[in-house]
Amino acid sequence: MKKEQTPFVLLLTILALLLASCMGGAAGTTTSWPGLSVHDDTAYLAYNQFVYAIDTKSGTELWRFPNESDRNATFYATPTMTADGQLIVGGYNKVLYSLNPENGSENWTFDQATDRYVGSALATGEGIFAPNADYSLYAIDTTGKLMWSFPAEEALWAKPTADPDCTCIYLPSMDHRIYAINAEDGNLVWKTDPLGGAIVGSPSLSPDDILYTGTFNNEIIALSAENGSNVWEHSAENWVWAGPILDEEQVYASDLNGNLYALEKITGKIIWQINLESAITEPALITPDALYVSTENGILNAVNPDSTIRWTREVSGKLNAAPVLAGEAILVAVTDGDDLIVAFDANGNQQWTFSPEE
Amino acid sequence: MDISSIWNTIIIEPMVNTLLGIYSVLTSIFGPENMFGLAIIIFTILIRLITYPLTYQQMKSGQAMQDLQKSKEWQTIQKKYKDNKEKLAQEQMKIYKEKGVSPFSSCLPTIIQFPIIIGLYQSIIRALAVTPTQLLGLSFNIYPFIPAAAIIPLNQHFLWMNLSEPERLNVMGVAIPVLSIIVVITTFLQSKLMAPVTAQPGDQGASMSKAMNLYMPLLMGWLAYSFSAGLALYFITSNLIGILQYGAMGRLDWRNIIPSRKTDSKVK
Repeated sequence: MKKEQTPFVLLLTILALLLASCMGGAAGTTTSWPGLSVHDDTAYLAYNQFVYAIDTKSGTELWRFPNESDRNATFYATPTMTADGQLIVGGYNKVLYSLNPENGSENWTFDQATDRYVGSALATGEGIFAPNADYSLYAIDTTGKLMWSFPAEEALWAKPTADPDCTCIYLPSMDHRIYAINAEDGNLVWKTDPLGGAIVGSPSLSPDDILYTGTFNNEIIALSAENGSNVWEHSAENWVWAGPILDEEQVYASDLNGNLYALEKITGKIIWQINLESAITEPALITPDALYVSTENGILNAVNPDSTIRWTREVSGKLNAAPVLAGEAILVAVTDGDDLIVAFDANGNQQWTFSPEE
Repeated sequence: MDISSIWNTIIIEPMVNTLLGIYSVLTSIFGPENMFGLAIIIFTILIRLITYPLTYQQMKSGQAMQDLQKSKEWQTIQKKYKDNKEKLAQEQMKIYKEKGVSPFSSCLPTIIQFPIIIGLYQSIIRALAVTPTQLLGLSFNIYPFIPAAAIIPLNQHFLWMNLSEPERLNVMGVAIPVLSIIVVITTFLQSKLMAPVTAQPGDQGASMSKAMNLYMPLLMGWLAYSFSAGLALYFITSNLIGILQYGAMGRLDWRNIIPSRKTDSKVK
């Protein structure tokens, strides 16, 4: 290299480093929000490079998986407990893990998927059903062996919904459809016509065989669980990201504009609608006294059944994940905040927080 | 408003929405298969058209430089200071200044590409939105007239590539970075074919051009190898259009890529 070329090469090197840092940042360090579930007195949290087990009474860490962080393995899908006591969690490294919930040791792994696990697995008596971003639903037995796989036409980000009456499962897909699949052999029972937008939330099934879902086409839709035909639709103001949830009379749905809708289950008629001022990306938690709704601006909203706000509490960070009940406490998992979990009582008093030690 | 918001508003959002708009039109005509790759190619053509004034300016600067180097004044100082490189450089700079010619003007269109490269890469990743955080972010960046519900998620496959990931073609168990190799070749060809002939020893501009011809293809190849295939597709399309644009203007000098005949070459 000639002497006079040195400044140019130096400049180019600096530009290359600048480009790499700018582009690396864009690729994203935070790729999703935490997945939180509770079983007995233990909360299981999948976030970034670890799956944590936390005591719900005190907020202390019981174990974490893996013991040492692995840059290639990150976890965001909500951990699922099987009937025989295995904790199932999928990683962004294309691997589905079965863990011992007592100590976090690995039972088995399933590595036949070719993309990341964004959605949580469903565990039923028929097996474990894990949706993957490689467009496939994998049905695995409790020893980790593949039973069958079902191909959709786009990525699968949402946990399927079980229907014990027909031993079938309802699979929402980003290809704008819901598929009803026989849980025993993976055969298609029915599929909806395209519903106008991607579906990334889990549908809810009512005892009278109506399936409720929401789409990116700004719609909340009720479908017949028998054949997938439309029963009613209700327009939202923005994408419906979270799956609707049900109580005895009503359907509760939300959109990315921060609207919370209460609709009649049978007709889809609006009962009330309130705006919580920030995107809602996961379902509300229903208790007999109130609905608890997380919004992206870091606020946990306690909403009375008549739609009035009972209280709000703000945490440091974003609240994209659904609130979860742990005994008397309401747990929220925080994205990019000071703590990973904050526990409140029913009156909004903070009980404990969990921040993992480095 | 911080720098990140400004960058987002004036660079990323328009780029993302242009890509989505093109993809939407293509999808409505041909279906989604391969269409995001085609959208990137069309987007690149648009970028080249928008930056055409810069390309034209570069061509004019190159011509001015060549005229200057043929001038009597220039030739005189070459002879006068042939044994004093430092003085020669000073005198050359003086003449550049007097004539209003920049020796670095040929680098400008390439340098100006860097913000476009960063913006395009971020836009491709955002538009493909392969994770929940990216998709949620995208939802807040889509202009109202884009039929988002119908087109999301975007089909990320183009020929053998996944546009959101670095490209490799598997040939008998060996992963070959085909696009990266083509990026290196087309960047080298473009630089060489468009380079003005500057043969004077000690000429800083010529030296810089030579360095750029050598190192820029390697840098572009490294970027194509390391980042998403969509970016490599942009590089190749951009290079080919650049060569075509220069060809259409009658500015290509094929003799630049044949070293033995280079000294005989004359600029058109």
